[in-house]
Amino acid sequence: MTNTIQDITQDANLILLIGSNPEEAHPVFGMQIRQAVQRGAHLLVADPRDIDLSKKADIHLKLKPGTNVAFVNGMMHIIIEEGLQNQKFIDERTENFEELKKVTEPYTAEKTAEICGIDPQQLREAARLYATAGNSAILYCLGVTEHTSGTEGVMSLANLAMLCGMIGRPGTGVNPIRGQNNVQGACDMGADPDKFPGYQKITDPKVFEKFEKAWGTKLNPNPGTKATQCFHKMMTGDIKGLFIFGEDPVRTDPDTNHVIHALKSLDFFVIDELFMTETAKYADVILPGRSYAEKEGTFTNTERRVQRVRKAVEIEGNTMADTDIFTEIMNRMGYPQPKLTPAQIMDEIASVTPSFAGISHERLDSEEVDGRGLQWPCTGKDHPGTRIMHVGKFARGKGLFQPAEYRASCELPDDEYPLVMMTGRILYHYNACAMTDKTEGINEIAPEAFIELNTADAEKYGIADGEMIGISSRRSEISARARVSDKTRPGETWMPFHYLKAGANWLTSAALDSISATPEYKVCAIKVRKLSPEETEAAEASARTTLA
Amino acid sequence: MGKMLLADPNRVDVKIGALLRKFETKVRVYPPGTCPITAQLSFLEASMNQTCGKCVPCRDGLPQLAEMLRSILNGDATMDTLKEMKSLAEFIRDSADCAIGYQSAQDLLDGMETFKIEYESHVRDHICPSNVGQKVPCVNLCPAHVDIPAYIALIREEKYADAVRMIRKDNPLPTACAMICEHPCEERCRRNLIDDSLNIRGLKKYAVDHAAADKVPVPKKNPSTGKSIAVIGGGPAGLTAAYFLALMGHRVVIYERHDRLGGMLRYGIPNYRFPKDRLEEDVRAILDAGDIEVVYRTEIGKDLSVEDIRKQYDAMFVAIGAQRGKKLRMDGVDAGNVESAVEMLDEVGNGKLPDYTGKRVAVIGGGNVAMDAARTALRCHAEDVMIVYRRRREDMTALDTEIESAVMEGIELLTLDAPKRIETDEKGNCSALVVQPQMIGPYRGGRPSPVDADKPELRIPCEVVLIAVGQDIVSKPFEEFGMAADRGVFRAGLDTAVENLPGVYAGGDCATGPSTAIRAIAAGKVAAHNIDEYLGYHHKIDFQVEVPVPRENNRVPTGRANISERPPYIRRNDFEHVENSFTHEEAMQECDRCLRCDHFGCGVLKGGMDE
Amino acid sequence: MIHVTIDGMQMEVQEGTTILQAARGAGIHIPTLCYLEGINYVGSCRVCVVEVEGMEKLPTACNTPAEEGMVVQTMSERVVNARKMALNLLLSNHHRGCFSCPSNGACELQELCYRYGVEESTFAGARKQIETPPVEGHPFLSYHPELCIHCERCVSTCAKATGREAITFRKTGMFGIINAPFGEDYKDTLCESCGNCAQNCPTGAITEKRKKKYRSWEVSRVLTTCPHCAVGCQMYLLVKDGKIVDVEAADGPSNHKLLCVKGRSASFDFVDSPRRIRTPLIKNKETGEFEEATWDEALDLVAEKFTDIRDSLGGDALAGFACSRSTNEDIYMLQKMVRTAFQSNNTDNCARV
Repeated sequence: MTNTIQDITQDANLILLIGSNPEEAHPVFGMQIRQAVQRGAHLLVADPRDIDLSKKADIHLKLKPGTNVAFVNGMMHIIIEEGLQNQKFIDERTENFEELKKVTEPYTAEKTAEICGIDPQQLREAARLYATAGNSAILYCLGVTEHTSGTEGVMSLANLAMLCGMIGRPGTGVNPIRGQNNVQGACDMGADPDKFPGYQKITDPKVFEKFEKAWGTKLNPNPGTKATQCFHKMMTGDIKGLFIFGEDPVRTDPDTNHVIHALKSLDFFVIDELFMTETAKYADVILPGRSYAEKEGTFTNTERRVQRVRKAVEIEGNTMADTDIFTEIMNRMGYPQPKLTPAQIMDEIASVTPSFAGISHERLDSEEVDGRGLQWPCTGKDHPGTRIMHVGKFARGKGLFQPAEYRASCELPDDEYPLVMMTGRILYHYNACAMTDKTEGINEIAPEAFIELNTADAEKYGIADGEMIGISSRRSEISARARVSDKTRPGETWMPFHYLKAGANWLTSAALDSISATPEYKVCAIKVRKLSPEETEAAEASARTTLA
Repeated sequence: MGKMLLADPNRVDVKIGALLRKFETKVRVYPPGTCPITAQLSFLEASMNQTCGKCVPCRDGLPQLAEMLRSILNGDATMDTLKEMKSLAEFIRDSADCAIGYQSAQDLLDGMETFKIEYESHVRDHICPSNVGQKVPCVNLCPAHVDIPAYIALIREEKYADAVRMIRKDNPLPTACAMICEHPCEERCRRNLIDDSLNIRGLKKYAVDHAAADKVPVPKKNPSTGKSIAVIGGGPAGLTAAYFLALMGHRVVIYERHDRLGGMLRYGIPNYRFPKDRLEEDVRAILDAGDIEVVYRTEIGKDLSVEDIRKQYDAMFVAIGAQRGKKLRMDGVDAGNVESAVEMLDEVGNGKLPDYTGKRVAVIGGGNVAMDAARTALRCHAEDVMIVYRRRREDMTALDTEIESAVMEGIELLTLDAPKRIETDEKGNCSALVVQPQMIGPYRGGRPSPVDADKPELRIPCEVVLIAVGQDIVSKPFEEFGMAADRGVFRAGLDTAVENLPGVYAGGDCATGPSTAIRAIAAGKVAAHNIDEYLGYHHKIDFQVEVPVPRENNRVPTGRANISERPPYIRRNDFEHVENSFTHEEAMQECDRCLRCDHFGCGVLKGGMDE
Repeated sequence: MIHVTIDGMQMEVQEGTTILQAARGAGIHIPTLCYLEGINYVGSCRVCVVEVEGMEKLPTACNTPAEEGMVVQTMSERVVNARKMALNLLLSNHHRGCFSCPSNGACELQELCYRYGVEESTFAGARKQIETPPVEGHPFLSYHPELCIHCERCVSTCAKATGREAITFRKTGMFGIINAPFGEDYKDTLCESCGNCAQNCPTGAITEKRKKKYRSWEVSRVLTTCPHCAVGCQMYLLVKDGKIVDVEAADGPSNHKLLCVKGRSASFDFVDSPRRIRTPLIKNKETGEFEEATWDEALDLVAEKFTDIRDSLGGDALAGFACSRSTNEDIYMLQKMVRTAFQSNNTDNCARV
């Protein structure tokens, strides 16, 4: 996020929420957005579903799934057409504006509205509100990124913010709400095929040299392969050995059959895990690691804020701290790695990562920081951290408009698979439920999967609310309970992906974003059918045992 | 942010409206003689039930106060309970958030002060003081305690002469009261619990319209006692005392300043409200009662000394009224055509009508006299009449119906304007009244008091100013005789006896300040009774009338029949009576509404009916 | 700026500052019960009353703005008596089963009554006569009306802090009652089970049911960061006898004392779950079953296999993925392991999934 949760929810005059359902996926952020609306902030929701916040929105733009780029281009077209752009900001702080004008030119309100399935007048009003509200903040989440055109969606939003000068001050910005607790940190820490910690490119010879020196060893100069693409390489035999630290791709990656096939193709597969996950079942060796409550460390939240994790308990058994596991393997594979405490590791991170240079456990625990964490970039011991990015100047100097054309999603509905399925999170579970399903009460509240169907579709297929139905895509078939409502539009459905039985990812498509290789979780084509009495009984029985 | 809705027409606040109006009435018609501690408890319970439930002092404290009050009534409280109650109430008064809490506590604290005796009686003796006990409302609230249910029952039986007899048992001026009584009897009429008060005055008017007082023989008087009593003043108090004393067999001599009897009934109240020929009916009946002599055109204290009179008679009843108009102190008050309203009305009573043709008349004041003066001025052909009053219309002491009638006849009310001075023309006659606009301010002595508003003075051009700001009593000669008075008002006991002067009694306006006819009548009745006793007798009078057996209550809610008036555009041009009569149907329907509280409820109990 | 005098101390404060804020700023303690900064300032408990010169009533410090020249007494006899009376009344309607109350020792009413010497109420308590059954159909939360002091903290928390408005204020005749959405029909309510109401309840009226399993003085608190989403809520893990028994929200920069249901109720049961793997496992190729192993056996096997692949096919034939749920330090070391020991850049995390 370019800005903080606090300034967005307290200083913004308008929040444009697109492809994000923070009330369920980031509930405490959602609570603060509700506070902002109570305070009088305008709220624009662009989402294919009636999420709860859309009821509180000034305007709910119920976009067709996968049309974000067109929507944002349309917004920009209207803003330019009506002269509402911040010309001073454009002139002083950006480049390539002419290109943007050219690309957005055809996206008239009428054309955009047709692509997105919305009302052109509402689109115009939304554009005017965004451009003129004073401080407008964009918040987005996986509804923007989890498309084959996800990266273009993100860039388009950045274009929109720059067009109106909505960046670099409180209550504005382009703010991705990161998904998991430390997904920001995972990227920051260099768990990335072509970047060292702190987004230092391995293709940069100076950087490469620095790390070889710092780590005292020769390194492989070939950029690596993104995880989602690795599965393909496993099947082709290019990747033979895999170490997974705490992920469950069988549950969370798209096209489960494809993932299982890939894992089975490996020569040797090691997993460092807490539980016998679906993925762990395919491992050759399982190394029992430790949970967040059993270790010291840090998480980096969506605001780039590095905060402490502290050890509360030790559990019985023969587990090992994960950093020690890695250290042991490094040493046993011939790389001499001294055993370090988490605090010492953070010191090493700071020494090789300029944006973390000022961060240490000692400082995070100090009175100076007072429990408020440090937001990177934090370039020195005296640097207070960076609350808002791009104040006065962009990281690269001038902000570059990178306009993009709208492209349709990869798998569109057809006669055989007439419905679009989107996936997402619900309030009560997290991802593959590895943590949440160990709490009995949670399972009592949200025990089983479901699929949201539009009333018209339900009527068409003769499906009643609460009925078990069959759902299939080109990849697989599952069964889940139908929830019939008008939350989605006719022809569109939605499913949570948390559940083991009726896992939505058996159905999803492995099509990837061309740039970031993010899967298109938000759009795949499916069909539904009524189950026979025997099938229904079996599905009910299975649903009851969803959670062991 | 769901849908925004209009208020539901069937919401509970609407549905509760009718109940609350009944409740309001219930409180307004609280029966006379109720234990004030129970009333306080009801009040407190109503208060605590109004809590929104937010704050501790109100939501948790008021029920505890109610609990303590209940324990006082239950007889298990001690004097410490009173102390604890006071300290809890003070806490609530000091720390409650809104008026529901703090005012409820303040009202309880005020009640504890006001009803100290009653509280202590309950705590110490577990009993109400002896004066507490429920009474029939109309009878109790009529100062003369006329047996109202009985005469209404007689009207219902169409026995109008008997109805007049029944009234005269307590009040020898039935016609006067039929026309102009302020009818306190109607205030807490139990019929309110079903619909509305009975129109008691209207029924009385129906009775005297069908059986003129002078055509209904008075009871047979007792044999002469040989005692003689002087009655000073021939107004309602004096006439009443004379009537009862004469029936008891005493000789009565009335000394009257004017050349006709009736006092304010004649010289204060204009003909259009109370035609003089109707007054004569009452007067004739009274003078028929026995040995009554009237000495006209004689003012005691001026023409004859008080002392001589007292010496001449076995007892003396002073009922001189409050006859002199109060003066206003302001510049120009002595100008020509600036008059006291009382004196103007007095002249009119004597048959001397002023000619206000083409003149603009300003009447200063807000009482009934001001209304009478204004409406009389209109009938004396004034071009324009306005009433100038320094408070608001709702603060006027005149009856609402009187104000209403004045306004209907075209009289303008200038409220919140305090007279400052009177401007004069070259002949020294009034040419304008200058007023200072007022704003209403904080309460003083129980009513909101006006203060100068930040507005310029207003000049009201007028050729006549009538001042109606109250009346004084010509008390000086009597004070010199030895009768104690406070600011001219004689000090007399509830038995009308004047302290330290055995045989001397005083009543009516001169002992209360300007008040109503019925209070004067009550004073005359009480004085007669006590003079009789003072003289050593306990005379009984046989009024020769039976109370009809009650019919069942008619519980069907039925509207109250009002007496209609002649149209304003006609009546404003003459002095004829403004009121019409009930039709027979109206009168009978109204009679049927009477709940006969003399029979049903406390009326049959000893002490339930005041005498 | 305006000038006020509190307990003889003169001070200068911003216009709009309440008496309570002014006093606290100067280190003068005024007790409060219903007050919750920025959330609940309805002034219902009247425990924070003070005496102000020239004012007839005793105003509530929490919601009365300081005014120029105000002279305030916070501990006069009149004030202390009023506070005692307020506590006395509160206690009259509060079921005093402290021994069995999960909030025993952490109850703000108990603490204030203790401090002001109010041991029992002198009043019978009118509300006590009303039968109000507990509301406890929800798996985590319960409401016990007999312990409720109707301070409205929960209502304001739900309406203003979480913005959810699932808890409402209802009436039972003259008394107020909290309409707590924790009945058998809790799934049909707006409740998100976040439990912020329970954390802000000053008594034991609304509690997390698990609170029954420990006493407030038995636990130690460890400040940490929530392991679920990326908001980064700060929270305390409550540890009793080496086990995590509960969670409390901390005042973190992104959560401001709020938590969601996952952070509060689903972030610790898994830690010591019976389903945890507690020893290294190696799959028996013959049977396909996992068998327990020592760390040395497991680590040697891993090192040997990966070294073989690296040395025969090159580092590019190896890959290592990090978990975006783990700590920065873990992830840094994982990618370091992949880059140095594996000689591969095939490292990634689950950011995309």
